[in-house]
Amino acid sequence: MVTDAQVAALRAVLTGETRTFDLMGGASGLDYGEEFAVLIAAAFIAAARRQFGPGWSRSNVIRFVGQLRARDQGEYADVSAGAAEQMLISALEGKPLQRQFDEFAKGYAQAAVLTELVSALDEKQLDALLEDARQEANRWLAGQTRP
Amino acid sequence: MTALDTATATVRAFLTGDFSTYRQLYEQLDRDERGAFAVVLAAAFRHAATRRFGEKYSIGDVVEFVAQARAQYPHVGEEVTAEDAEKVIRAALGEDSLLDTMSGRAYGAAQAAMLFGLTHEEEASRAGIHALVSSATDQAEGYLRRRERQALWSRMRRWPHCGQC
Repeated sequence: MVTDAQVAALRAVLTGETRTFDLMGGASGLDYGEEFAVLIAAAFIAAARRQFGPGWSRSNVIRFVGQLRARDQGEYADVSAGAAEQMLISALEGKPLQRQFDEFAKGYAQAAVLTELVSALDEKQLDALLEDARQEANRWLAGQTRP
Repeated sequence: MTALDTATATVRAFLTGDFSTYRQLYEQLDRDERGAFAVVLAAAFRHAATRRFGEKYSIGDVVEFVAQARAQYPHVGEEVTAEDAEKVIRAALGEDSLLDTMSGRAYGAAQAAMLFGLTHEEEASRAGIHALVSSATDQAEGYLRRRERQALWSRMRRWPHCGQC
């Protein structure tokens, strides 16, 4: 099941706190195990559905990703637009990714998009989203639901 | 004190000519602080170079300035070649490709030397140096925050395919 440390580690990623991230689970992101990956996925889906709502469109997704990548004079242009857009669409449609991307591009884009999705949330809202994601992840891990 | 605070204090000591404090602080910098130091120095240098030479500079302006600065501080002139000093200034003004063949060590030395020259070309005002360092620190803070964020994102590599859920 998802632990408090894993939730805290994800929170640290989303708020840019490297030291907390390192403290919570070791220097390598791979140390966190399957639960952490499932937690991120659950948080991503929840945040995407909250941002775009049921009336989402591909145009809105493309615009959102474009704005992220253009931020700070293109500092985040290294985020794969294709990976970011496809992961959002996958989350909003509730279907598997339609294209293959390398693991690094996916992980990086996932973290970047999720950080952007939650950037407007205050502390309470972020805590609530992470708690919902933890519960959904635990149901997922127990085999009770599919996203 | 954060890495950025320590880096800023080190740059300030350097530019105000307090070399004993500068050397003491610099020798104690850890890896993060050295990184922050390089970013603050680069930001201050870009700002000072742009302010001095403007957009419509000529290579002659740069050559003349470098000659004057190296002559004023001949011991520095021994360590930093004219070519390296001219390259770092021109790179700060937009000619990035000039740095392709330059070593990191030579780049750092030339940049620091020319930054000192730029801030002391006319009688250096402490207030002016403090303002420059403050502005460079603000810029560095934004850059370092983005870089830290990107480094964190680089460590996120797991995405369970929905088919595995």
